[in-house]
Amino acid sequence: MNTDLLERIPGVGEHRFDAEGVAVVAPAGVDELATFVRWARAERIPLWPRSSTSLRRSVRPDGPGLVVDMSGLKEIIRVDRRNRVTLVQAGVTFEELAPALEREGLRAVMPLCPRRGKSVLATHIEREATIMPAFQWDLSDPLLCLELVYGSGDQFRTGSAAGPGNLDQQWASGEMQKGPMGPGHADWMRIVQGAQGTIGIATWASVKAEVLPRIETVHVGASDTLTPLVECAYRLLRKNAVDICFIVDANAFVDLVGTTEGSRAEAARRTQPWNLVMSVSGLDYLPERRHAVYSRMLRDEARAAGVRLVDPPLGSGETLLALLRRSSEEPYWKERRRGASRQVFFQTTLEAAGAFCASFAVHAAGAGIDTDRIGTYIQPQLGGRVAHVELIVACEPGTDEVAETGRFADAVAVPLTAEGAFFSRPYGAWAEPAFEAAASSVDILERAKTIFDPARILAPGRLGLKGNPDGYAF
Amino acid sequence: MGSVLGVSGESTLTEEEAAALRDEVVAELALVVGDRWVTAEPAILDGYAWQYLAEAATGERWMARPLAVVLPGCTEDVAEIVRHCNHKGIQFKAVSTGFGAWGAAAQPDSMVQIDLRRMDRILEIDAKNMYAVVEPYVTGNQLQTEAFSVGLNTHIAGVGGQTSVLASATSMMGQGWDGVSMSFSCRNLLGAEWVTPEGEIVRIGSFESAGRWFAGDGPGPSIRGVFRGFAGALGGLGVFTKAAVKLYPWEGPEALEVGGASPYYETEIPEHHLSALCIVDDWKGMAELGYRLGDAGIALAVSRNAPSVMGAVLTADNNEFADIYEVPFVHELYYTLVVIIQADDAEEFAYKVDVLKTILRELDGGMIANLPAHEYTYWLGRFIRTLSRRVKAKGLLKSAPGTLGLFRTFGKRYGYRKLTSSMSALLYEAVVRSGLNMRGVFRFGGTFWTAMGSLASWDNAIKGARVGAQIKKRYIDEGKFFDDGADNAWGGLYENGAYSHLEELACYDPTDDDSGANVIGYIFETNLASAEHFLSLPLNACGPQASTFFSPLCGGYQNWQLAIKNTYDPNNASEGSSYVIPDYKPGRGLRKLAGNVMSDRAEIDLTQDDL
Repeated sequence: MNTDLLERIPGVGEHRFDAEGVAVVAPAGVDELATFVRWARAERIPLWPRSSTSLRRSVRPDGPGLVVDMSGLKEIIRVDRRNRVTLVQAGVTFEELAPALEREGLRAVMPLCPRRGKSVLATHIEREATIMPAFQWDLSDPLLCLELVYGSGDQFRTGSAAGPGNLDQQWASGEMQKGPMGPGHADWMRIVQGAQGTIGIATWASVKAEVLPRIETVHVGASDTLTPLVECAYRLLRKNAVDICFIVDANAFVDLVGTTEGSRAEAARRTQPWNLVMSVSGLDYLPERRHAVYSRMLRDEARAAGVRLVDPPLGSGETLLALLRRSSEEPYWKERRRGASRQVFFQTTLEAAGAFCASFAVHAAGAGIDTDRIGTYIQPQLGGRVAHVELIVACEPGTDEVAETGRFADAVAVPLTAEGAFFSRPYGAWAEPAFEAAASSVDILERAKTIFDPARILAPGRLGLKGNPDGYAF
Repeated sequence: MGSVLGVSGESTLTEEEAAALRDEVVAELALVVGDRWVTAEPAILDGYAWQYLAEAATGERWMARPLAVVLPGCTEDVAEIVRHCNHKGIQFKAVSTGFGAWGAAAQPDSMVQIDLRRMDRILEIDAKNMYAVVEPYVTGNQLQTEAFSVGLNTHIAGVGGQTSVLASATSMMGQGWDGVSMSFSCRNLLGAEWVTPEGEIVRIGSFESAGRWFAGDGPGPSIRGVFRGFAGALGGLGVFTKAAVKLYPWEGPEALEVGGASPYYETEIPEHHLSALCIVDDWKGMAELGYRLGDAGIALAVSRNAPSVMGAVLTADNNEFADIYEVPFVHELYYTLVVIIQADDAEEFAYKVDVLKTILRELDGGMIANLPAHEYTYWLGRFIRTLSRRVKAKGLLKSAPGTLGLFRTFGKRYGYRKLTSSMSALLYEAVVRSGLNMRGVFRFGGTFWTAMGSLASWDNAIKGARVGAQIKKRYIDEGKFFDDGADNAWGGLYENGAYSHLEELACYDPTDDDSGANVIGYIFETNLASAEHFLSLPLNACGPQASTFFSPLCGGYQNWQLAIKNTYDPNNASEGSSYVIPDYKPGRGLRKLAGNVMSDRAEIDLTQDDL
């Protein structure tokens, strides 16, 4: 890293080198960020935005340049029970947000036990799957409005947050940044969402929250095969009977609930091959009645689908619910099997998920990965219309297994895409097969990149997007 | 008044040049679609120029004639037509079922009208995964009828069940009666086939990769964001030839039982469905009712309708409406919400209805609903009690003769035995099928337009409704608009109350020479008030004129819109007079009108509880 360059960074309070020797800049707010991005644009410096402190592969820079670390922006700016919304800065994590919402009678819309340090904003700007499909009206949910700086260096607010008026004026008028669309004839939030930092860098987001139930119970439906659970999930989601709803195989369930060797062994003994985890709630009005009505539906539909209702493999329903409402304990649940993992995820429909899981196992076997190392997590999305299928391949840190697993995870997207898997969030090597299969979109995205990041300084190369034709200052 | 669309309204061609170009275009497009499907016959062209709201767009009753009309039969035809227009340096604009000036030509002899009516198939209903794939000319009621048969339902925009599902989902607004359970049109889009302004065919979402339409976003950023914001591009950014839309659970029969004869239809409310007109005391009560219904998540539809529009929906002609509206209590029914509930079985139905009752008890309100006789009477009594706090005993007494007259009229029509349920059934039909909307707004003056209506929190939407009514009252007092009581705010909740909208309808006579100027003045004044009161972007924040006003107040979004237009439509081939015009400058007529409005505006007093 050219330290002279670092000295020339304008108006940004802090810069440092992280543990991996990468230069990191941490803007203190949107004005500082905009100044910095404009400078980087003029100097043709690649920027790699990140908001989480957990260093997943996707938040590490893919090349030279500066990391823009937003994780220090920690304010929960507003929690509004009446309008079921919160406004959070980029660095706010789920372990910070969830209790803050609960104090106000709300619950956070969360992924399945996110990693500690995981930014709420980063989660939703990446369209990560969340565990309550009944509350997801659009795949962009629960993200509503963003404050951001485009790669051009221009500041912008999306949706109803754009104005008229600043936040204080809008709040005084009863507007709580709840309109996700516009302003005007485009959905600016959608163009940034899913872009892996290639279009803009967000400083805060308004995010939907949901009513904290007066009563909520978790139920586990079990089966030796996946099909009955899929049928049960379809039926219950169609009736809007369940809040939390996801499917895990035995490996993933053990990893999710067991943190110690002893507890994992016990969970492994008790867990079933396939498990549908669901919750039924009672809200503010007639909570017992609501809970009773939908609990009865759950039992009826489970019976009709041939699903056995069983106890959780570890602890009680209450402890499982508590676990699902929080970030993961350490170690992160997807890394408990062997210390590390690579996840392969894509979208399909629920009914097609089983065939993809079977196909994945065949591909894995071909790469020498046996089924003991694979955990399966299937997350219905959008009220059950879409399924996020995630195959978690465990590997042992410090061994060749890590690189081998990485190569397999990169390569398997090719045959899976050919079979019809939709890699809607194509990280790293997945971008190539994903965009080969969606070739008509490529030119549209390249042009969008040119509009919002004309010098192509943001996360160059991600999503297969072209870099600056004149190169960069590194 | 002159054009407000940002174009001259005059042809840039001589008559001879226009005729030659027309002949040329017809001959060339005939090679694409065949002679039968392209024409420049003046009478046919006029059919496309006769448009709702033309008086506001052009100051006259007509929009401009297009150069020609072409009816493609498939996506490839559309793409070829678009490429041809780019090559010739002429514009194009597509229309499906059509509804208004924005679908037509703003300038004579400048564009080819692409009429998509031949593309009218429901291509797929995936009942398991709850989505449908439709071509442009499929209407809301067509899709709904087919969806009912597999236990599903579709969102229908407020424009009514007779209009295109695709147009609303891809290109134009999308408010509706059923938003609380079935969202807003663009949020239901699960993918689309888009012929770009340059004639490339782009398939958005999972379809191109997976061969199925289950997801509309990705890979990577969502292209939905480029072409579809709050308003859509209104035909100004290419043509959409297929759309996949979410369907929603329908807990009713495969087909609704409908009796009677036009226009007096009678829809049987199915078992485990409730149609309730719920009343509270004032706007504060309305705010609470909305928030609590949203939190509870029990409703299929929640819709606010002012007394005038409700009267129009319930009646078949203006004489009958006058009979109803002259009854004193009727035009005091301001603080009501129509609530429709559906349930899977008796137990769920009882739970949902009991939640509604609990909420109404908390708010000291009542309802008229298809409940068993003893409950009906009890809740009707509460309804009257709530209303009487507003109209007092004297108002109720004065209403007695008119009420008896209404009983006679409706008793004869629907049968005295069904008298108590007939209103619930009519409201049910209006809301669930979205089939009576237009008789509620076109009948009074011949046409209507609307204002306010941002997508915002319910408190903010209510504030907007109050501001809008106060502005409109002056237009009524000055004889510019029909007297609908000033508060004629229509709207409701979306996604269980995640956001909301209330728009202020204004009915007027389009044959009045000043009507165009009046309605443009109303739009300008309500837009101005939306900005001053921080009411988010109203539904009239569309097109180059409004964007010029609002953009500086909202981060300069017009600059980004221009960048999108210029980037994806470098030849400006896609007619964007209601979207983005690359070299737009406000005309003198518009500036003068704005000056007039600014110098003489309604005073807004939000300390009043109501009008």
